[in-house]
Amino acid sequence: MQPAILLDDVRKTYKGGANALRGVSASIQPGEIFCLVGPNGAGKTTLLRIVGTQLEPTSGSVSILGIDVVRKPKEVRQHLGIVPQEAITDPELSAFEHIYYYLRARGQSRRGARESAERALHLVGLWDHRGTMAVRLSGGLRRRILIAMAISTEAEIMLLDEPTTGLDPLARRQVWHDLAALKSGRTVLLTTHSMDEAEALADRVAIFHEGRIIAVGTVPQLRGKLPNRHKIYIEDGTHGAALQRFGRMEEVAGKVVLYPESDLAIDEVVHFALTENLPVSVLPTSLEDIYIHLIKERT
Amino acid sequence: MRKLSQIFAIAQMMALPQLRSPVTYALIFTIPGMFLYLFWLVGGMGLGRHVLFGSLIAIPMNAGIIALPQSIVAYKFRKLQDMYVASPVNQFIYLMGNGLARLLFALPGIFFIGGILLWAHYMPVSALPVAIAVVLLSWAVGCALGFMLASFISNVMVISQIANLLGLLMVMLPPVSYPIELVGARWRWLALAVPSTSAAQLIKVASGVSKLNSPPFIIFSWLVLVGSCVVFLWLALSRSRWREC
Repeated sequence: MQPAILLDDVRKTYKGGANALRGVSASIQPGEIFCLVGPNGAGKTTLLRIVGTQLEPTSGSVSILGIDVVRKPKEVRQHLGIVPQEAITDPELSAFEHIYYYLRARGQSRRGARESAERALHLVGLWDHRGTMAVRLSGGLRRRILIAMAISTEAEIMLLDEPTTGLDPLARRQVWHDLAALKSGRTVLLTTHSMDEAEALADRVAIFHEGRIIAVGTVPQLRGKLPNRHKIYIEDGTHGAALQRFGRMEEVAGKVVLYPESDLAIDEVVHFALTENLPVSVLPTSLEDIYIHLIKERT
Repeated sequence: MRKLSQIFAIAQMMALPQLRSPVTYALIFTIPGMFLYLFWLVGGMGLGRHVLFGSLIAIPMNAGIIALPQSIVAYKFRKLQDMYVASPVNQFIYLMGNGLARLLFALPGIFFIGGILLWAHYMPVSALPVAIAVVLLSWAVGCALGFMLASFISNVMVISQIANLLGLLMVMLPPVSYPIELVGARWRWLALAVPSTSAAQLIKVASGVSKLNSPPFIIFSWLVLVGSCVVFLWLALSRSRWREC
């Protein structure tokens, strides 16, 4: 099957000499939500802007549905819907107007634009706010206008750059709900530095570090890269020395986070904690643990 | 036809927020208003009517000059333009929509000044076709000049500052709001080489206000207006890119 997005050794060096991308390759399948996670400055936005035809790569190739983004940007743009990282709505336009005029500018008829705009407003739960000026909406609702604009295009490929940055937890979950609605038949390339967002939404995750993908796979596959599938929180940092023999240990704000070497070690640590009357909890390792582990391995 | 409706959609989207802010209308009338007041004090309405003709040029030309530079400054803070770049909208449609938005915003001012000129019989109805053509050309020259500035200057803030400065200079320094007869005879051709002067002069001649109405002056004025529009636009399009590199 032809990949929806194909990245082949994509490199980008900015005029000042900064190497933003140092050879990124990946194949993203149709209908997949593919998530790039990594810290600020890792090169995620640069890659997304190249895929979105907004920025030219220094070398390498990117194709969307088999069309080269450098040689045929006009063709590629027919298939794209994007939500840029720092995009802000116009304060004096309503939610409906944002979507309607965007679709009209893309060449849709009046009737088509109105119907698509109304559908998108329903889909992201903005129908009740359709006539409200953006300036009177919360940050979360304004972000959802941008997502509705992207959804309304019905483009096959969606590029979302940190769509929930700066939102409160409730608004983030609402946006996640909107993004899940995007999935029907579409390919979504999403960047985030929020590990729980990637875990909640992505079919596959690529961990980005200093302009390179250092690991890629489903969350369970990535979890397999860790020597341990569980971690233990013990809410007392004073017994750190005694716990060291059970596995790798970190102290965070007076708490001990232990990554046990084996399932047997979990039993022993829990037994130890209960004997010492220490509050203890056993949790599955998260994407964040995988990320930290991989970065530490590199550095 | 489809491209035209795309341009109008962008223009409407960009003009609506401005038209919804009534305070900004005051800005349109501030400079012509102050000019009119000063010239009326000095020379009565004999000089004051030149200000009205000048304003008829200044409003559309300035609207054009600042269209893209202001949009670029807005992009620095809003980044919404990225959604249009990564879409079937091309740079020509975006630029035209952008410029048209400014013209829509300027229309109330143009109608107001034009209305006064007609009402006071400073401009006969027979001069209206010329006036409309010149106003539209002034806007087009302004847009092309603004696009050219935006294509050649990389510093976002400097683009906006130069556009504003140039807009001001082009309507205040040459004989746009005062009679060209006040300029020495040997400097008149040079004054007419400035598109804003040519535009004002064409309306003044059509209205019987200027004595500098021989065919060579009139032909030269049309050539300056059309020519500068073509040259600025060609320079802008030869340099502009719809994608960063």
